[in-house]
Amino acid sequence: MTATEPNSSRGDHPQDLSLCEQARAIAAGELDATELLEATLARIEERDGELNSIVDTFASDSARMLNEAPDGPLHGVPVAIKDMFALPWRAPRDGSTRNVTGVEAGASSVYNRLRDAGAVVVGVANMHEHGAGSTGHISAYGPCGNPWDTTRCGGGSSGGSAAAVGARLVAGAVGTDGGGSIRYPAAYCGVTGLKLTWGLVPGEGYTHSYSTMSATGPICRDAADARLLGEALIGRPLERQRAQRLRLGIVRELWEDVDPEVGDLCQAAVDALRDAGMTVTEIEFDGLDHVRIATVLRLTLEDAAAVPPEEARAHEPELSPIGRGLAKFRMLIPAEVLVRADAVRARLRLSLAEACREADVLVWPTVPAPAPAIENTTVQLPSGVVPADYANVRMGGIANLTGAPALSAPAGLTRAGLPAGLHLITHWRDNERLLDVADLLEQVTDRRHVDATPPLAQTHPAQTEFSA
Amino acid sequence: MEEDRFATWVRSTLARAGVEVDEVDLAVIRAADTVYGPDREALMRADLSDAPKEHDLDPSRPPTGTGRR
Repeated sequence: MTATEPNSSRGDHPQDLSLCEQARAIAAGELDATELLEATLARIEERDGELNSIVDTFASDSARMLNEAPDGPLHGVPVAIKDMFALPWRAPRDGSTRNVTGVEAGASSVYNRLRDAGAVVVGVANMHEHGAGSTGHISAYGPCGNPWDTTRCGGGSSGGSAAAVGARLVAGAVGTDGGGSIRYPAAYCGVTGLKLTWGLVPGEGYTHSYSTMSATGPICRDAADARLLGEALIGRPLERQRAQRLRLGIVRELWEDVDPEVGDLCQAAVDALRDAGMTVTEIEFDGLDHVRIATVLRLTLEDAAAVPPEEARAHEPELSPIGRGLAKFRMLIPAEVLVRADAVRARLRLSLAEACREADVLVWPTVPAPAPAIENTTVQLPSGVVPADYANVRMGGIANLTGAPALSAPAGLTRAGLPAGLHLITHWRDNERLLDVADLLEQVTDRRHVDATPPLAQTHPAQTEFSA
Repeated sequence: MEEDRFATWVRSTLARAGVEVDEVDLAVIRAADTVYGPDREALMRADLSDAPKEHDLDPSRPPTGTGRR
């Protein structure tokens, strides 16, 4: 299925409502949460076959969660979570054939936060095997497609979460981001993804809780939804402020070697923010030379002690061929390079702190090219054809090495009908500002980017009749 | 040949850790080294002597001493 003329009208079917609208309608008695849950499960069954974004559902457990749901801000709203979080009825598998992380079934922090907000976990989202990729095409569950073109990657490693939101299977999903894994799939799928500041969401019951790079965050259609789900995850408000008075800083080096259409779409977004009143300047940012390798090294080596050796040996034959080869490649990396990577990390953290004195939010494209094909995960850049993983991590790794919050906002569609994303990053304590800027971008573009509906969500209209 | 030496080095290094390498493993390792090797070598050559020493790195906050804007 390929992209056709996008439908920019907002659906008024309950399943097509935003997260905020679903929560409001349920709270007002206008929408029956049980019917919404059943319809969501039916839509997943109907629509997800060629997308493969949701890998597990559990109707009775979700119904029980709904029956016990407190009157929280997300009461009765179905959400999906990445296969990295424990549920009381299911241990996570990290996108792999079995659970080797030692995280057993139980109430993870993410589950508890969602439960306390009244949300209902309706499904587990697909992901790149062990979080080790930005494409999502390698998974024990099979590749996750893209709602805009199911022959293309949904992204990684939180591809299932982004694709499910993009395809309007759920209005919100939880992902994780250790090297861009919320932001890349958000950009690929045309949705909003927020990597919260490291440590804001407790790591109990999370397969990569050992990581100093990985953070949890919401993936939703727009900034308001991401704010609502983000508040549930961190357990406190993300106060809304006017973004017009903020200073936007362009890090020009990260706009180089980018697909021209992606660059133009992102520049148009920046121009729209400038026209809306934001001050836009160019910012110098020291230390970018080694972002890519420092990110890859840290990510690659951090879990070296996380899995018991006997488990790792037993699991090796079950890994994908690439996963198995990379596990052995890791053993060849000299220790000195990790020490050097950490020096790069310290330099980047200082650079970001200094840049945040000159600008409130820094901006560049989230990914340098649109989603690649599942069968060939390379992308075409002005410099040549490179693996998507290699291209992407230069853009996304800074937020993980520094720990700072970062967001990808939809920036429009290329001529081929594939989404581009605008990357925003800010000071460690200012998650809200990212949402404020994303919200302003939506306003000044008349929401045409966030309301654009992929073909997959148009060709299978929901049949469920709602009583409310 | 350079290519044979790479394969020999991979196999012998991993053999010391008791790890066997088949042809698929070798192909993946070679591809990863081709893609990331130049960046790794550049990092090894980089002058990082002026990089700040952050002994108390906490990813949840900025480096100490930088203050909040």
